[in-house]
Amino acid sequence: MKLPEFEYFNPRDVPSTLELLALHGEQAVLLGGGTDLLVRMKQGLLKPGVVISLRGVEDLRGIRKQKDGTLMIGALTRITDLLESSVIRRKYPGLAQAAGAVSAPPLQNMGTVGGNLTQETRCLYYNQSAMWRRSKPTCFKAGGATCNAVKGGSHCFATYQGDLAPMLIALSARVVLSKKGGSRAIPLEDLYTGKGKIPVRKDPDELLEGIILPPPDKNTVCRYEKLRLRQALDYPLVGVAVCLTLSEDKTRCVSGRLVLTAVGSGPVLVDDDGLMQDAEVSDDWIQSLAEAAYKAAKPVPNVLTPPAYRKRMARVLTRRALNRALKD
Amino acid sequence: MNRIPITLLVNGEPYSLAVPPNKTLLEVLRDDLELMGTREGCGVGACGACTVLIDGVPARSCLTLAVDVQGLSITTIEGLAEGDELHPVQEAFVERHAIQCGYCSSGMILTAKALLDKKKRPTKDEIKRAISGNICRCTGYAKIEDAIATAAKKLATPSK
Ligand SMILES: Cc1cc2nc3c(=O)[nH]c(=O)nc-3n(C[C@H](O)[C@H](O)[C@H](O)COP(=O)(O)OP(=O)(O)OC[C@H]3O[C@@H](n4cnc5c(N)ncnc54)[C@H](O)[C@@H]3O)c2cc1C
Ligand code: FES
Ligand code: FES
Repeated sequence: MKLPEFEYFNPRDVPSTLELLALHGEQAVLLGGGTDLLVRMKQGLLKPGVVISLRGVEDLRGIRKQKDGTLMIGALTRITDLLESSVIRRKYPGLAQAAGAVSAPPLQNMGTVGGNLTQETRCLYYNQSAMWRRSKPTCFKAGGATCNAVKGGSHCFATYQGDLAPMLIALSARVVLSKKGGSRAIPLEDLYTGKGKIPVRKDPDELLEGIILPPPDKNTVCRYEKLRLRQALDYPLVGVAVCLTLSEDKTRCVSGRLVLTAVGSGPVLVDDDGLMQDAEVSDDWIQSLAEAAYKAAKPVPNVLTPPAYRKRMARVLTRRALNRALKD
Repeated sequence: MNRIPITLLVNGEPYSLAVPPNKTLLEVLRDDLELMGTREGCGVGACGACTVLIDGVPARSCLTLAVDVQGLSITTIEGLAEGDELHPVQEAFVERHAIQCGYCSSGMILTAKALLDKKKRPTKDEIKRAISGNICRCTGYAKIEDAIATAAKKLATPSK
């Protein structure tokens, strides 16, 4: 499979990257590890005029502790770097777990954090070769006016299947977006529109510079559970990330976040209706949270397994994630 | 389209060439350097047949732009044997019958070599995890895992 033609730039630092983005805007795409972007380009889903490779932008690489105790993870940090980082393994084990669940080791060696977070939504009827797609009407995501997955669907239902975003949102991470003339940091959940067609809310000339994790807390426990058919290479069919801050004696949940992936067009921060605010930890409590996840999961028939099964598995995996997080 | 001059260090040899930016490392290896040991399976990152080592790390050459690896050291399957003498990992794959049709073998062997370069005595689980991104449609993996364990032993006790 061939890549379409494009103009190529390989800036060496952030300012020149932002300069290039300002110059080329809409027609430019950023290339991290290429494991999402180049696949879509090969399948003819995208024909950018300009590709800006981030590979040589060293200041985007690396994991740094900051003065205020937060941790900055550069956008070009690879999934493998997360797995090999002792800070991540010791202080944010939930993130190491989610990273380990991304695709498979050789792709973890290529894929970056920035690329993982901004990856496109996916659909069984969209992420296919051009020849395959010709057998169906052009769908919303491809610029048409039908949804091939949901009969009569009025918009695009493509699914967000990233593994890192749910855990990073559960960890209350912030994302740093920069463009020529300024930077902003927003809660990671606000990066996502929840819309299949355009899942990421950022200006075309904006660069994701990195993410900021709050200081580690010894009373916080996290867990990621992922459903997939093969235990390697496969995207999640459902993913559940949970972080709980517990009381010293571990009998109460002081605060927490429960986030789902692959059951909607963006990561889903479950509305727990206050269930995680100063609550007593119990089996009933776990069951109520599992029900909240079940309600929040809105899978559609656009991946390999049926939606009803995935919806039920959101409940099962939530229970499992909570039980395991509490046991650690 | 404009071509960009690059130098690739493939199996220790420098190659200077001018490539269009949309050419993958896989295409350059096969079409320009005529190193046919690196295979194209799926072309979209899902199989591992195209695995090469970039600075010693297994990567998908079908999803790597050749212009992006300018100056980096690339190892392909052709770079393992020394003259007529197979690399211990290759030897082990032959001895343990870990090759059937052979389509996955270059990728499997390079992935295994990278593992053993990092870890002298990998556990069974570490072996499984290392090759979990490489698909083999023939062997059922047991023989490949066995070959990698055998190669680890060979490398630990050099015979010659
Ligand atoms: C076989 C296979 C299996 C996979 N399985 C999984 C899986 O299980 N879970 C999972 O989460 N992912 C999976 N992936 C997707 C992908 O490998 C990872 O998400 C990876 O982390 C993407 O990172 P990348 O650097 O390769 O992204 P790229 O392909 O380089 O980029 C992805 C998108 O992000 C944009 N982008 C990249 N960097 C930046 C930046 N700094 N600022 C702004 N925009 C940016 C690009 O323009 C592009 O639109 C799989 C891919 C393959 C081929
Ligand atoms: S050809 Fe590269 S992964 Fe299949
Ligand atoms: S030997 Fe045939 S694919 Fe592995």
